[in-house]
Amino acid sequence: MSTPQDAVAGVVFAALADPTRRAVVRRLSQGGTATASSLAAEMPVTRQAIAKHLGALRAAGLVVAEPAGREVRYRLTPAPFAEAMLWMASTGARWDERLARLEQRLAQRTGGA
Amino acid sequence: MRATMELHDDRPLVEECLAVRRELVLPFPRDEAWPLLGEPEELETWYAEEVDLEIREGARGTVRLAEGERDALVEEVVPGRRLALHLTDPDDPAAGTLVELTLDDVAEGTRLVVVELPLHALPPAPAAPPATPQLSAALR
Repeated sequence: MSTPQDAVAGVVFAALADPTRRAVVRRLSQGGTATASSLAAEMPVTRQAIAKHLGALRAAGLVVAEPAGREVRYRLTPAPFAEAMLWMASTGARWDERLARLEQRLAQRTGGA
Repeated sequence: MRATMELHDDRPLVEECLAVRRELVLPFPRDEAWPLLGEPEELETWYAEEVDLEIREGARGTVRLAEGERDALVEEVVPGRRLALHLTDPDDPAAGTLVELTLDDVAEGTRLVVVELPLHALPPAPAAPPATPQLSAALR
């Protein structure tokens, strides 16, 4: 059964599949808000390309655009990341259980030898 | 770590962001550890509740996990070294994951490294496999 959380995580993962978008997210996670122009000045891509990536991140609900005078500033929204983190946490917990089971089984095998 | 990055060029960045990675050192040599990955009956003792899948590259089947049944495709098998499975939820084919199990030699025996990451995160495959003639016919 897949859940609404899985669907949200899917959108987040798709948005983060692109290295430039991950760089934008990383930058916004460090420094509050930024404009498309300021991001383009920091990265080896054009302003138009940055604007396109910001559009994709907005569509995934990962950033919001806030008008500030004549500029538009972008800011991260944490909620969808929480869904992705949830996927990672639950997947990690399942692997912890499996490896504990494997360890237990090997201990039994060694004990029985 | 390098061994887990062979399938997709963009893996280091994707792994940094999204992959779940775990390790366990097994106290015996790699050739003795391999059946734990390479034999369905052994996988059923620790990984899955049921493995109806031949461990051969390109084989398709099903794997029943604690969280539900998954359609499985064996993406890569390097005997003694590595198994990669592409798992999809039949209720939501878009929600797939790639599971890689790798064995490395270490002083204490063998290190098992597991990596799971969502397939949404991977760059698109170079070419999608064509639909089978039966499937194409069924869709017409």
